[in-house]
Amino acid sequence: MNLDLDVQLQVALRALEDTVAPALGGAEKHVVEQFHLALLTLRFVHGRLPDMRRYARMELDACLALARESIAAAGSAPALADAVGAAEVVRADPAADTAGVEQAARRLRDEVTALASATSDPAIAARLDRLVLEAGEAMIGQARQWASPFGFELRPDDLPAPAW
Amino acid sequence: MTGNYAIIGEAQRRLPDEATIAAIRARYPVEPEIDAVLTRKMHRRHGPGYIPAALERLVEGIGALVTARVGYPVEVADARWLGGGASKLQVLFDLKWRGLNAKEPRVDTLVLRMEPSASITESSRYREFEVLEAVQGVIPSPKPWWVDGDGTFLPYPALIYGFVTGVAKPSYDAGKVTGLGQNYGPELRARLSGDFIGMLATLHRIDVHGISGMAHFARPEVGSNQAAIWRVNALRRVWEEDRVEEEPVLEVVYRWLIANAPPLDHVSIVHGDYRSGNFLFDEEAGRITAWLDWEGASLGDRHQDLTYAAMPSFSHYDEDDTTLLASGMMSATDFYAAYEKASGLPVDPIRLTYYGVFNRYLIAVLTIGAAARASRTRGTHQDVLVNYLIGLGWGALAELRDYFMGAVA
Repeated sequence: MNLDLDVQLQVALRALEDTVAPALGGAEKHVVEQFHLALLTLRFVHGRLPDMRRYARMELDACLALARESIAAAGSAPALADAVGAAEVVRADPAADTAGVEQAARRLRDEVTALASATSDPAIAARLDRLVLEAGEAMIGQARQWASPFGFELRPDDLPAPAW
Repeated sequence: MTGNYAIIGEAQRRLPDEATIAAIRARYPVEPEIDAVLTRKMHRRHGPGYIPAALERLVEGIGALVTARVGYPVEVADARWLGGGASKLQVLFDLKWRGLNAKEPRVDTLVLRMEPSASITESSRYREFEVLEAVQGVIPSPKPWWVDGDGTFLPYPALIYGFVTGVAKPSYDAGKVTGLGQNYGPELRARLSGDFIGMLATLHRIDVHGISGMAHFARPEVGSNQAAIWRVNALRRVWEEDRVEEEPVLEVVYRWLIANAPPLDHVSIVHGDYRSGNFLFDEEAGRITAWLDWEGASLGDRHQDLTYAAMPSFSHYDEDDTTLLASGMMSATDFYAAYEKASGLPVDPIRLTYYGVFNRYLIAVLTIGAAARASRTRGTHQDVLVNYLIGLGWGALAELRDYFMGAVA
């Protein structure tokens, strides 16, 4: 492919940074602000695009692990088990596209949450909640790492290393 | 059953049918006006997203609104966009008119505040208008003049209030500190903190039973936890309607917030966004000149404002990098003690913990949920800014998870 996406973003960013930005000196404040945020967003995409597929598969793995633990804790969870089966098929398919991987992970997120909310046994419910909270540390940590180019992290070096 | 959970798909969030909207409304009951606002948001998803409004169109709408209210023609002059804020469009203008009594010619500098099609904070212009009326003469704030609560004259619901003077940031570089909150520097913070605490104490002591307005606010009773349930359900409903994908931690927290909602011991006007950055001040006098952004106000528990002002997101460390300053003023402990003294109202550690969880839940829902959906649906006048704010979300979610685990341990 000649028109690879990385280069397309690179040339667009260069034009915006080197040519358009200097010409905005007299523009209204909100125009300049939106311009710089658009640049930041494009830089984020440029930096993350090569890792997008790996990130989606890593998230799916984390959701699958939480789902399997939740099924074990609940004893019986037919809807979540169905979602796990479907996700395993996607995970094993090297040709699965990123949207399909994301969709499988989202279904797992829904079913894990539904299971924890619908369980009537207080002891099992507490165990499921604990699993969610414990798994949350790593999953949220990776999401923070993924979003860190937006610049909101006070100590980005303290975030967990990318696991994708 | 401990929960009331139902899975709805992205297609129904994107273009919700009436059955889906009704089911969500039934699952998460909220105050009537909040219900109306959120239901309107869902109906708007069938529309075109935010259609940029030309300044001329807004000038025309302002003129029509004011003329209808005062009963004679007025002139709108020198209109220009006013920046600031992620959720509303604002236009500064001069109104040439003859006052409410149609007598002497006068010119007032006013602000139009209009919501876009979707927002990181969906709110009611009626409520914003009414709470501003309620605090006039008590808390420095813009004087509300007219409200177009249903968008009859303007493209979207809007209100007009007086222009207030002051600055949001010091004119000098207050020095480098660690933290996201506004740094006023040691000298200015010492001068502003009296107003910051005193005005909050005054706000919370307003006798809400003596206020005849605030018709779009439900009135909770002392001894009931209804106000907390309404507030939590409003956020849960936003999460249900707006999220891109589920975050299981949030449902665990939601169920805890419902199960542990504390009863009210005193009904206060709660600002809802009381923090550094949301007030203007006179730098020379070291006084707060106006409190802004009343759109999230409610009648409820003062601890909501107290813990919000002390959120890490709005705080920074002092120059020695040892003490976290709530809203850039003082340590949270000192803040609560000073508030207790100024207000005469007790600060309850259990309620502080509860609303500490609540406010962290709020930030997570608004960033990961509402901001993501509003920008995704092309619903705002600055999608790129609203989308950018999603970047705050996972730090907020981590902060919520950590705080929650500490609270329930």
